Amino acid sequence: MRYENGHPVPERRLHPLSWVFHLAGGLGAMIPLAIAAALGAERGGALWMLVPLVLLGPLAGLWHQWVYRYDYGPEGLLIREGLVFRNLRQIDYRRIENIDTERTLLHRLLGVADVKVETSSGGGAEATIRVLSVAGAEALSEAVFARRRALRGDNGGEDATREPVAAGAAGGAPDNSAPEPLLRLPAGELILMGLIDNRNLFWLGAVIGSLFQVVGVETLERVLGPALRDAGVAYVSQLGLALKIVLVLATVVGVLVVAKLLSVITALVQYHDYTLERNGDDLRARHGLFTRRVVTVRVPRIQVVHRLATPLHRLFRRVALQADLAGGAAEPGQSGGARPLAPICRPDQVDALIDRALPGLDRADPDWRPLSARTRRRLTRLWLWCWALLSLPPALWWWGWPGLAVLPAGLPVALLHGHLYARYTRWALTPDLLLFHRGWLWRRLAVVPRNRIQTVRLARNPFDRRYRMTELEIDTAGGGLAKRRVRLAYLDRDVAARLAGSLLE
Amino acid sequence: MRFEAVHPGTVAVWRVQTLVGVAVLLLGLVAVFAPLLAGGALALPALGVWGLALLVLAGLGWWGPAAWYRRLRYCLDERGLSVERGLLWRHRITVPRVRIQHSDVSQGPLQRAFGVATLRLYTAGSRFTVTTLPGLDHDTALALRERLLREGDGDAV
Repeated sequence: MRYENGHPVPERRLHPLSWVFHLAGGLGAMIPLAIAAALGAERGGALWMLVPLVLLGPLAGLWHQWVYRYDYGPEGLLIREGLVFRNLRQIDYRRIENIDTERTLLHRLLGVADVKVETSSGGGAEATIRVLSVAGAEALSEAVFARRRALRGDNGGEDATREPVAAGAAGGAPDNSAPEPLLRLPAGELILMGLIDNRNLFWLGAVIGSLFQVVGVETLERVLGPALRDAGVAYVSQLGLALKIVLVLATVVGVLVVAKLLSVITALVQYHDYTLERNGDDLRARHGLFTRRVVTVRVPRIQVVHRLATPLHRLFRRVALQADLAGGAAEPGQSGGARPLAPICRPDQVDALIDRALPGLDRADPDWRPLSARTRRRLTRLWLWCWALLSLPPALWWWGWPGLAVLPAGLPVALLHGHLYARYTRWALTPDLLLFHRGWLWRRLAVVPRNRIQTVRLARNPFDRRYRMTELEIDTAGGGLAKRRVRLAYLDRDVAARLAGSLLE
Repeated sequence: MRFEAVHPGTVAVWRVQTLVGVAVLLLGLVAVFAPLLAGGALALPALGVWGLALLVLAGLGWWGPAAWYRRLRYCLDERGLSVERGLLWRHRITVPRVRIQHSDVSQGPLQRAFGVATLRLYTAGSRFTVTTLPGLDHDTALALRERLLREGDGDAV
């Protein structure tokens, strides 16, 4: 370890044979290129053209080996890559969860190993050191874990004794107590769920669309056309207007009924005998008629719990609960991202379920706060502008100047939306949680434990500045999907700044 | 919170970068359209448009980095690092110390000539996994990272 201007500079080098492995990685991509070049060169009688191509790989490998440095800094593992475009990476010892060594046959022949350093952020290794001698790899692993223990011990961390391998599966041993059932969905609930769910409407459209694609519009016309013309179209044209409307409506209703029927069947098959139970530290869901699925959700991985209520949910007095999980994809038997905690449940069951999903967090009487007082005006204006932009051009095109009359037609909806959105959207901060309820037609409540917050972002676009508002967005380790962003828009500027400050305390 | 500006040398770096970008774009347009328009009736107007584009883009390339520099600020406090930036769309991202998984300090040849570097902080988040603070003095970037990590502690996920 060398110091430059008081900053540590890594000095340890890779194994002298590293270039071979750098080559081996890129070799696969080079082979077809080399063959093509060889064939071309042979025809032209100029095999020497191949020489720079063949040299390219080893030279790149040698360059990488020559400039790559790693070392044990005071705080973390230091890795320097590149010389022209230089990058000095530091991985804090306390964050390192895993150091894997990988050896293929070639590695074993040459007595070396690839070393992968991983933190808990998931999504691949933070550093791949390619390659070190086996002894060097072991030394690195020992050095890193010794420093990690020392640092964690200094700070009185309880995980000082935690084994590095077990760290990935942290959370303690599962206790042997019997699993505690939390939620069971009988067939009646599943039928309700199918009725509420709208996904099949989309699928039905897709099926009909693809049917048209497969069968072909022309074939359909050839087969059905004459019949339609003879029997239907002529007949339809003779019908009265009222009958035509009835016909169209009947078709729409028929499609809806079929879609809902499909949806109910899917729900019955997919979520047959849905049981959610607590098993030690985990939540476990089992469901499925033909394929029985068992999904384990590890409670420490739950980042945000969402409560969802669409208009149909509210009609049947039901809600859906979903959880955003951290990473997760790396562990078998666990799907990353979003998981339904309860595909459907009664509102009075929600509290108990959230208590299980986010244990030990106090949710007692939150102090709900509204959005900025200017939200209503801003949303009404926004909707009016959108309405004007969408409806005015066609209206003017069809009716000329009298078409301007469509403009006030959008006013009631804009006023209603602005009023209801501002009324139903609210947030609350409790000692442990941030709660955010959004929307009036589709309502979504996000429950975010404050200790899961990764970063806080305040954003102001030109409209926000005009209305003296700020948008506050919270990032957690789960919830990359756009729908699940926890984004508190239309906050007063000072309120947002204060909230951001208190969220990070 | 007391925000600090980054190294002024970074304006020069960005200017060189944007002006080179503009030059490449405009020369590329010349290479594509010159053979098509040469000698035609549209050659003169096209040249005029090209000249106008050159003036506007070069002006933007010169003025933009300076304006962006004025809005780029950072603040290191006991909670973590806050970065504020943006001209029209203004953001302030705060990364708590305890959330930083690893960090990069990188420097290209142009940046090295002006003594600036880019600091990147990685978290385990899902949308804003990387927070970038460009244009720092190289030593400041390293010192900032040391200070961030030395006092940071605790569970990162």
